[in-house]
This record gives sequence, C-alpha cells and structure tokens, in this order.
Amino acid sequence: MNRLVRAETRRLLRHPLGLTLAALFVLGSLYCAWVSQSMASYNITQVQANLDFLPESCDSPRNTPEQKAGCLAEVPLQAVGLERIQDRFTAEGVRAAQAQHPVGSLLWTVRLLTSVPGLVLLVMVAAFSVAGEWSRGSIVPILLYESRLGRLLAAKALAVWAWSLVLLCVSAAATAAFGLLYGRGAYPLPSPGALGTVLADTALGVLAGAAVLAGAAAVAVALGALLRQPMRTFLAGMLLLVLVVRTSAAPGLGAWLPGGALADLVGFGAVDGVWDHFWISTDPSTAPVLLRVLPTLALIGLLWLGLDRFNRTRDRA
Amino acid sequence: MIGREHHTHACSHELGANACPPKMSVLSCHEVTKGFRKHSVLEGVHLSLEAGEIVGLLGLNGAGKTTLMRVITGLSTPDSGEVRLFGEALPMRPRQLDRLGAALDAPAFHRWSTGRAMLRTLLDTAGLPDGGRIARTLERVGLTGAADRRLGTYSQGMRQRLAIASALLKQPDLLILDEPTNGLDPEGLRMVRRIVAEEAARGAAVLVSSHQLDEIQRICHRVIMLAQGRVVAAGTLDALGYDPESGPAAFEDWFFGLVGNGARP
Repeated sequence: MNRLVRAETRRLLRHPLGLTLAALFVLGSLYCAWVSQSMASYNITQVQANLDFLPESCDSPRNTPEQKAGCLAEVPLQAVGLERIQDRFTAEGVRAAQAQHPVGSLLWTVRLLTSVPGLVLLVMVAAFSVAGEWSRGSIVPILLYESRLGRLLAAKALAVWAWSLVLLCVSAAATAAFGLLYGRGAYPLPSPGALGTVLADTALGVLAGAAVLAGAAAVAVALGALLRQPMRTFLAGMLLLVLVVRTSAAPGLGAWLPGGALADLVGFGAVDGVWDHFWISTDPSTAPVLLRVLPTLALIGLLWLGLDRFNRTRDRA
Repeated sequence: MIGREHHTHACSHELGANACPPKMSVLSCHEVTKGFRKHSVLEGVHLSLEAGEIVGLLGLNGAGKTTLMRVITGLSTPDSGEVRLFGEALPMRPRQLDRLGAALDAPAFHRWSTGRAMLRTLLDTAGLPDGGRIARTLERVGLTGAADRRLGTYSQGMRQRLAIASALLKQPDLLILDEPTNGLDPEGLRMVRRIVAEEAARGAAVLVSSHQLDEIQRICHRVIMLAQGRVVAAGTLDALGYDPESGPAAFEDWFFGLVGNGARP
C-alpha cells in the first residue's frame, strides 16, 4: 500500500494541473496575506488616530461654547464605540499577524486552504486526476497492475491529501517569508501572542485542518470514481460544496451538519474578507465539536461503502 | 466445431516450437456472456489456453474480441458464465493479476510522464521491484532511446510499443495483446512476432487479436474465430481445413468463409 500511495503521490505532484493549481494557490495565499496585513494595519492605525483626535474634534472654531460642551460630553460615549471597533480590529490584526510569524503562518494558511477556494482547488485536482484516469483511458494499464479498485482509490485519496499537505507547507513557507521579510516592516500589527500560545493554536489548527482536508479528499476522490468524468465530478463537487456551506447556517441543525462542524473545527473567523466570507456563521452549539464531526464521518463512510457496492455491479474500466 | 473449441494443439508453428511445453490450463472461459444495455456482445463463449501456446483471436470489428479480452483481464464483469485464470475463477485476485500481462484498447498513458516513469509507476502500483526489468523491457520493445521523453511526444507506434512493454513488465504467464501491431512499422511487426515467440518459448500462454491475418497465420498455434459474439470456429489452421501453402489471399477467403462478410446487425 505504501508503494502505491507513493506512486500516486509522485504522479499527482508531477501532474501539470496539480502544479498549476498549487502555484495559483500560493499566489492567492500571498495576495491574501498582503491584503489582510495591509487592511488590518490600516484599520488599527486609523481607529487609534480617531480615538486620539476625539477630544480635539470638539475644538473646532465653528463650534459655539454650548456646542463644544455638548461635544465634549459625548466624547466618552464615542470613545466607547471606537474602542469596541478597535477591539475588533485588534483581534483581526492578531489573526493577520499570524501570517508574519514563522509558525503562525501555518495556521493562517491552513484556514485559507480549508475555506471554499482551497476546497475548490482540491476538488479540481481530484476530478482531473481520478475521473480523468477513466476519461483518458489510462486507468486500464493501472487496473492491470492493481486489481483491488478500493485499494487504488484509497491510495488516490491519500495522494490528494498528501498533495494538499505539501501545498499547505509550501504556501505557509511563502507566506511566512513574505510576512517576515516585508509584512512586519510595512504593516505593523499587534503580536499574535506568546510563542507557546502560537505553537499550541497552530498545532490544533493544523490537526483540524488536516482532518478537514482528508475528509474533503475522500469525498472528492469518491465522486471522481463514481462519475468517472472530470467535468461532471467538478460540477458535483461544487454543488456539494455549496450545499455544505449553505446548510452550515441551518437553524438548530447547522452545527451538526458538515459545514457547521467544519467551520467550528477549523475555527473560521475573520481570516480575510476575500476568503472567509464564503462561510456563513454557524448555528451556535454547546456540544463538543469532536462529537458534532461524527455525522460527517458517517456520511463519508456511507459514501465509500456505497461506491464500493456500486463498483461491484459495473465494469471497472 | 461451432461454439466449441477443437483441441488439436499441434506445436507445429515455425517459431519457438522446438519443444511442446507441458499442457496446463492457464485460461478457460465457459459460457461467457456479456452485453451492454440490451445489446449482446458475447454469447456463450468457450475457450481455453494452455501454457506455451499462442492463440489468435480473429473476427471482424464488433465481433467481441476486445470485450472478451476485457472480461478475461477482469476489467469487465461477465453477465454470466465463468472465467478461470490459473485455475481460479474471477473476480481477479492479486496473485492472478501478478501473472497476467495485457495491452488492451488504444494505448492510453499519462501524457506528462516519461516512458520510464510510466513503467515505474506501474511497478509501484503492483508493489513489484524494478531490478533492472524496466530497462530490459524498454530494450525489448525498442524504446531505450526514448525512455526519458514525455509520452505526449510519442508517436502512435511508440505508444503501442510502450503498451506492449507494460504487458511484458511482469514477465507474465498469460500475455494478452489486443491488436498489438496497430500503428507499428515493419520493424515493429517483426518485434511483436519475436516477442510473442519468445514469450511462448518461455512457457507463457499468449492470446493475441489482430486484423493482420498473415501475422496471425504466421505466429499462432491455434485460432479462435468470433462472429457476432460467438465462437464460430476454433482450432489449428490445419484442423480447420486451411492449407498453409495456399497464400495470404487464400487465407483471407478462408477467414471470410468462416466469419462471414456481414457486420453485426
């Protein structure tokens, strides 16, 4: 099995589409890192400037003494409002600052990769590398060397997962390099936290993200093997992704459905407006997220069982 | 004769016939039937192959040759009937597949891969070690010089050679070649003839389909003729009433006499 997985992974890492999509993701990741650091830094600076200016704003020569007195009376209230905005911007700044941290950049990138655009790329890779084998006919020589289709598909799913993990590492390294060499100087941001905290958050985030990527790879490969045609697989994957995202906000149930559990597992928040707004905020639940992931795992298991049974009733190629 | 094989294996072919290998059933098909939707492609096909023999599968387009080979290699599941490989009934098990080599359909590989990398991928897929066999196989099919070129740059003939290499890589006990001479130049035709003879001499059973009637006539111990999904004749050319001295044109007439001129209804 190890050799099979290695062979599939090697093949996927050489796949022109896999390379192109990986390059696109790395560029997209750098662009998002740049935008989010720039925006967060600008917002924090601006809100601080507004706060600093607040008492002086009442000193306008056009203000009558009564207007000035009324203005000064409102300053504390306005300051409270601005401080709330400042807190939110600071929280966003802390998250954006992870992209300027050598370890935190891994957490920042895994959230991008497990968000909608990252999952779209993963579905595309699975569609063309799995379903494409059938549409090209190249599955024939492979099946003449491995008779167990389930084993072959499991290896392909592991290879797609490995591809996504390699992409995560490469992209995180590029993001960290950008953040350290340019971002820190150009866009001052609050500290992402003590090293221990960043390490712990990153470890948990990467574990959760890796689990989500594994699940997504299993579903995408199963779809590819079921439909055996890249475009159909891609469209079905997109439809499923929209369904997962939309149902994450279903009242009373969303947190238990794949989209809600996934969002809570990875800890989606304000990573960046460009990537994160695809994911609708989930219906809050007090149940542990590891428990809420079980229905998703059961659905993936059922999909693979169904695929296995269906494959027994039809020609393998 | 109709629908049944005539087992008169004579070991009288011109290549690799120095010694008749011991008879051992490598492949047997019993009442194999296969259809696609309501269209029947194979109907009650019987055949068997023994170690060391070369059997030619003949028939017009749509006769069911490729489908039969796909059923034998486990790519297609028969609707009814039984296929036994190396004494065990299908579905295919890894120990059966390890002894089977096949080149089917139009050869399709990963265009971005090289010939050598493609063969290594296949070996890795089966978990088999290389041990120099990739280099040896590439040499046998005349692709050593092009081994590190991307497959997207291969000609049809080169892809065909690579398909044959992929079938030989496992040193199989049963070699199945579906129209292996398609797209090959005269040197390639000679190579196929040599490889088939060598494999049979090594003790492998070879099932080969081709529209090159003279090739079949030259290399095969026996022929099986399919028409409209049925075996219409099987046996040595001698037993089927063909005179080897009568030339290619006579062979063609003899072939059409057995399978008929009509296409599948």
